[in-house]
Amino acid sequence: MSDNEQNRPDNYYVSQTEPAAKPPPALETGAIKWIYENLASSILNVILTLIGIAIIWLSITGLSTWIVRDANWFSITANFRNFMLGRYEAAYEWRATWTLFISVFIMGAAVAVWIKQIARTMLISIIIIILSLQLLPPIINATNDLPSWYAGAGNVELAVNQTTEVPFDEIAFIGQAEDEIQIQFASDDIADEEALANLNGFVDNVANQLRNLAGNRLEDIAQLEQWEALVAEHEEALAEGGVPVLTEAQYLEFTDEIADAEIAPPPIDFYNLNQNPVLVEILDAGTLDVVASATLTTPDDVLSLTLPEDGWYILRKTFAVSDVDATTEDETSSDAAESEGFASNEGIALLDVHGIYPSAKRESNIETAFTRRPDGFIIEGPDVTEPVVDGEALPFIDIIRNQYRGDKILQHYLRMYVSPFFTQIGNYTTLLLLTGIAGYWLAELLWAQAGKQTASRFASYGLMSIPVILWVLINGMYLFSVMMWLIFIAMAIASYVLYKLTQRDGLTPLVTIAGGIVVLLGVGVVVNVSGFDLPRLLTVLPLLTDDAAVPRFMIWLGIIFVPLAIYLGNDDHIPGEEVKFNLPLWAGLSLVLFVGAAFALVTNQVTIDTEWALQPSDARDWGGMLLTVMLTVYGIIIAFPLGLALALGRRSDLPLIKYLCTAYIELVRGSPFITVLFFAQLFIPLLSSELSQVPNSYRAIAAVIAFSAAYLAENVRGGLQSLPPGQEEAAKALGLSSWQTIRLITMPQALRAVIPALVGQFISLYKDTTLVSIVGLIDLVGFVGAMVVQAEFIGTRLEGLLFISILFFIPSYVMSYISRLLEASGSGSTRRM
Amino acid sequence: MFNQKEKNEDNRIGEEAIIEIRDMNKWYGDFHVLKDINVEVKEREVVVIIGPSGSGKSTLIRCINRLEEHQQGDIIVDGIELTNDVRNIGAIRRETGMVFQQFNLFPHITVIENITLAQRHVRRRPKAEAEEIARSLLARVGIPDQAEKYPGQLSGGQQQRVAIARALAMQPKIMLFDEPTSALDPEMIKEVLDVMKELALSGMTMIVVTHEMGFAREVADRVIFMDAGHVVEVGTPDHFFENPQHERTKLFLSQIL
Repeated sequence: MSDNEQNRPDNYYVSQTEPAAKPPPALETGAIKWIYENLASSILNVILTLIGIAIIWLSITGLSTWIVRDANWFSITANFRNFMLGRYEAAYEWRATWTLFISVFIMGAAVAVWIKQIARTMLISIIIIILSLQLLPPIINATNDLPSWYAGAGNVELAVNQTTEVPFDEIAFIGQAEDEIQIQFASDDIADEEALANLNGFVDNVANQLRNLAGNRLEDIAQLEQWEALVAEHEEALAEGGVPVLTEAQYLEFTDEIADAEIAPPPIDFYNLNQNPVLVEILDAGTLDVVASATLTTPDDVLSLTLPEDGWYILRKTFAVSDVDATTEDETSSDAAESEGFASNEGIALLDVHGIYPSAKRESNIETAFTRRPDGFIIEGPDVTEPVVDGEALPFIDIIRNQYRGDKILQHYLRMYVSPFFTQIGNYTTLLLLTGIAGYWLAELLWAQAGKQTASRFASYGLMSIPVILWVLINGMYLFSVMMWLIFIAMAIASYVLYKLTQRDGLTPLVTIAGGIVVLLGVGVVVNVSGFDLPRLLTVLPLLTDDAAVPRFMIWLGIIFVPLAIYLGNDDHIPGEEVKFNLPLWAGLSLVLFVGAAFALVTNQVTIDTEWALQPSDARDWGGMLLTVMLTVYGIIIAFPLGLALALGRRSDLPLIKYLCTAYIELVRGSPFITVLFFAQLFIPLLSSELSQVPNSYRAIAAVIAFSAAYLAENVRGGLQSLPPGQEEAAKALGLSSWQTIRLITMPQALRAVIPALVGQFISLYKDTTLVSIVGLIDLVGFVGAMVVQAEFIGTRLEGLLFISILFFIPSYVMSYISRLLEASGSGSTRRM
Repeated sequence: MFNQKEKNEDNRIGEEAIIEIRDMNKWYGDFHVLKDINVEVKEREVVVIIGPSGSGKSTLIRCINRLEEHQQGDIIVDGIELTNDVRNIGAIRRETGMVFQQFNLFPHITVIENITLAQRHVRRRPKAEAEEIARSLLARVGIPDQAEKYPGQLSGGQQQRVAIARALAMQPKIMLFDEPTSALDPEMIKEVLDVMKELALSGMTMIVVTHEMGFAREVADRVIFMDAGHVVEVGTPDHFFENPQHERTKLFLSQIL
């Protein structure tokens, strides 16, 4: 063998040059490769691709057809505030606005600090959104017309089945200055029955019934023709001795039907549609002066005017024919109704009205508002009512009785829904997005001027303060008065001094706690003695007078939390080193305010007559997105430390703690969320009479916290268990205490490892909050349920659900996107050794 | 290259025992892992423990800093008796550094943070001082330029050297090495052993569990051979490798040499 090789030196090869890199074959790169590999790599794959395309095509066409043609999006635009805030007091609306703007500002900063890589994409999206919000409405408005309002006029009744409709002679409407109104005969639309049946636009009852009459008649005729054709075919077949087309029973049934068939008279001829001249007048509702009038005789006659000012107007439309003798009229109409039609000077006219639109009336105990649906023009005020003529309120063109009928065309969809909705949210959203950019810019500036650490501190403290801001602003805080600020500042200073003292002298935590109590008592006494007219609950007085258990609890909580914060903060202290901003300390202090406020507000005992106070909002009024956000944010924020504690407790060596935590976790995880919700709603009030006053939204938050803490605990425990035991051993071997090991070594790694699970849980929590609608809270889903029983929005459930699904999708997607970025980013921590 | 003789006068093995293990027994459940262990380690002594897998050598040194609990007998480290008293355990752990087979660096923080963490939280050193010590130790173990990297970005040998630096940063009196080179590629073993040799020469008291016979021969003051949970033979490297007494030792050496 080896000899052989030696004899053949050609076989021996040494590479002399390194081959140059060549581009891959064209078919192996780019779109073609992608399409081939992903869509057409095998026969099965081709079939799947075709099925996929078919499914996508069907759903997209079906959905978009429904969205444009059938859906009533007024249910969304008209209820937008309810979707966002529920019944949250209008006077406090600015608080929600501020919270939103502050949050977005901070999030902008967070993007700049941590996820700069998406800044470019976000900026482009923001620009696109702003441009479309600002530019689309004027473009749509310039290129598309609003649909007409079709109104009947006339001097006879319109009979349909058992009911009759009489055209209104006078009807009120709201108009905006500069509105251009054009009224003429709807001539194209009554060219034939087909056109009449397919009329689309806002219609009053008369127009609607005409539309139905035409449609029904066409259907009846079609049905009759079908029967006749079948019968004829059948008879022909019998005559020729062929196979009969129908069974005997069918044949009899159909011949009966044909014999009994009554085809209504053609409505266009029957009602002398648009045969008589109509006098159309527009009156100012206040003065009853005629602003404009015209007699319409031919299809070309038109009444046009531009409204002089905002307000109520009256449309009067009467037949301009010589009075018919009363007796004759009666006779003719009763006869005519059964036979061939009305006398020539009687009948109905169908008017095509441009510039007048139905509006909706909303009454609250403060004011009444009339909103013109298609464009959102609104007249509101405490004294606003429909015009009163001769002591009677005139009917107005109201959206419930003047709904849009017929298939919507794209033009109307854009003009009625898209453009007003964009206008409605346009400026707000634009400002919001610009605020986000401002936050981003500020963080960039901080980064450039003061370094990365300052910028990231700004962003992280900002993010951490969002829940506090949210609570303070949305919930309101009577604690948030000048005096409370003084107490708060005093507490902060006292804590700081204590903190310094403990560092220097190495005081034990016990001394710290004692000192905290003394300082707080001192503050309370000073404030109390100094003679301010303090609201009862703000002082530490309750401590001394045994009054108001809850505020006392809150103070005690403060007494515990402040020293705890100091103690935890002190853990890392190095004697002699300068004291730095101490996060646990400040977090503890915020917690005092936060928890104190929560508990004090639970009783809702006090309102304060100071203009500096943020009055508490009634949590029972929270609804819509606001409620969902409150449930989710506090479900996460408060459940998080609870979950960590439970996870650690379950791993504890102490059996009591271990089994208690295990029992709690298993109990909660073993019950459906809905039972936890009901439990919180029904059981908490039984615990004490004070708790029975807790608003149901707080109880729901408590349920969400209790529920998500258990799941969080399991996720975190999973993360802890996934760590190699060597980590803990190494920490121990270095002499770290078990608390330090948890805080510095295991917990950071465990949390990092379970980010996907945690975010998944937050997302599902966000969506699960919809279950609170079952216990009577009006969250987004609850509001859809409440909306569809309003007369105007009956049958708009699908619209509502589609809208809220978007409201759920966007934040959920953002959360999971950010979690993906977090996983991919930094700290090399996903790497294992 | 290095030799016992090169240790200078100051680093000569002391008279005092810094670790005393007396009649120590340990069970895992019913399984008797360590049987009647009597070991004494003097100051500045380098003791290498060898033995087949499962002979209890790792368990023995993990008992010294209480990563494992013994059930019978006494362990006295630097005059402190190892009991259930948390303060004693803490005190002993502060005096003993440990290096693990799997390095056990903290992957979520950088190399320099790995080394300063315990200094700051246990020894309560100011950050600047801790970092200074960390950097000098990194220089000592030969990787001064890796301070800002994460452990996952280093090679195994570098990680183990960081782990040694991390243990040394606490300025322990005793270093325990639990098979420090077993998880390393052959190329990297040498760089770790060099650091350990340097450490031994500087007079550190060391207990090393290892399969590196070359290291044992060259650096150890004493070699302990364990089998099936008890100490079979103790001796100087020369005596041990050249002239083993016990049959089990002879068998073991014949298999690995």
